[in-house]
Amino acid sequence: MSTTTARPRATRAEPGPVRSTIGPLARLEIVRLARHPVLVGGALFGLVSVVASYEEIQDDATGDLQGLPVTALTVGLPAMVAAHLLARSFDRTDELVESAPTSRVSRTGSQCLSAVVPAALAVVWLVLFAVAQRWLWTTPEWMYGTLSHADLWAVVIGNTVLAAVGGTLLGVAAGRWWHFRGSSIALLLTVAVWTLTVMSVFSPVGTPEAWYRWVRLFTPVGGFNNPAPDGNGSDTLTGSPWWYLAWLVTLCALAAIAALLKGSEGTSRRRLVRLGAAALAASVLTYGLAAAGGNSQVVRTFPDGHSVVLTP
Amino acid sequence: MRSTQAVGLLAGVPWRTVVGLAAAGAALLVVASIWVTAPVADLALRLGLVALAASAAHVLDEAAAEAVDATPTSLRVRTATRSSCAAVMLAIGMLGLGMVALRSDSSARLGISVQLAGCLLVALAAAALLRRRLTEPGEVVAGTLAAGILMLSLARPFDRWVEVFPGEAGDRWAGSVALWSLVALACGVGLARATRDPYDRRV
Repeated sequence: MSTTTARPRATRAEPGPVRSTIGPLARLEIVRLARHPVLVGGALFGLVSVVASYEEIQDDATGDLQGLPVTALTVGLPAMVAAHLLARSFDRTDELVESAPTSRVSRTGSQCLSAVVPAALAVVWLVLFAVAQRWLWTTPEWMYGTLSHADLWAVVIGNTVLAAVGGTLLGVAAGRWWHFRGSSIALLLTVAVWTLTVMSVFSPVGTPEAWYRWVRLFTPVGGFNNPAPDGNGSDTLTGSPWWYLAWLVTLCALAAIAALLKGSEGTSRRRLVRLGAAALAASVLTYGLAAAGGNSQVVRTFPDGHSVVLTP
Repeated sequence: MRSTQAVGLLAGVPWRTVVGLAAAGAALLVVASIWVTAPVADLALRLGLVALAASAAHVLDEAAAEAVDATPTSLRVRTATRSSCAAVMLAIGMLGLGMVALRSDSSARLGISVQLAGCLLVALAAAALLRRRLTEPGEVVAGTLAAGILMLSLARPFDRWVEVFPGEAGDRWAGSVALWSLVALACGVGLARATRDPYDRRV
């Protein structure tokens, strides 16, 4: 019989490299979001909505089609609610999750990466848009107003992919920071009031010119083209679509940083704060350029091709 | 049922959330009645309806469900007692809509109370159905229902057949009332099934 005097080795599990833990976690989060009934229901609703109103959309390409706001409504909004509910689902298992050998930043990062699901859905919408634009209907050139085809794509990408990604990231961020009951409805009401108030209050008619120009783009979903009230023309609104797209990117970055900041410590926290400050500065700059660039006044283009500047 | 028993059953309602959301809904309806001709009025009206429905969705939340399930009060009685809070929300909503109707000289605005009643019933029925699996279904139901109402009222996909959320005098109200009546019927059946005793085979 022999005895050993060797001391047992320390058995504490060292956390692995961040990249190795984020991958499997992100896959899990992607599956959870992809199977969430709110997101699935929203996507199906969008499909039904377009099929049901196909003929009307075809006749009114400038209003509903060129901005593709249906994607923001049926993918971005449900993705935000679903991501928020999934982020909140960790509330009750916090102690259990804390014992796992992964940092909070990694876990939140993996939740943020689940935004690829709504982004993929939005890309499907983009492809449908491209196909429809090319083969299903022919939008007369005057309906684009003073927008180029590239400008139109900037608007559509902003209202589809970035709205879907931004909605998800905002949902995760709110889920990480807000732990009160009713937070999902508070988030939804906040976003709805923010978006719809700016859209409905700051219209080209009856709003002081400077106010209209500087405030109207302050929404996460925007348009640069409206049909004229009498239907005989197309109004191109103020602002630069490309700088507006850049501003939306900075909003997505801010939402992701806000989500990651909760529970971060030490070096990663300092890095996130610095990144957040840079993103905020970029956001202010790009918004200023979006409002100041492009058309300075609303321009109405008529079916015969001539355009006039509208004065309020 | 004695009043003390009813008070006991209502004690578990998450009042802070329910009252907060109902107050938000009432405030939005007041905004709609003050700036009745502004473009923001219609938006405030719809969001007020959303907030009131979300408030009703939280009424059936029961944090101490395991303890309460063991008491000799049936799930149906408990649900019915708690659902009385939704009647208060309907009253608040109708009061707000009445103010909007008076200020805008349009009785059509009062007709929105049919949609409000329908949304409250949907919230209650969905919460009662989920209550069998979740002790606090309010968060999920409120978020989902609010997203659904916003999508339906903004995208208006079924307008060719029926207007789900009409608001003006010239809109097609008959189809909407018929639709909401069907929804109310379905919610009634859903509530009856969701609140039956597991050993009761009559319903």
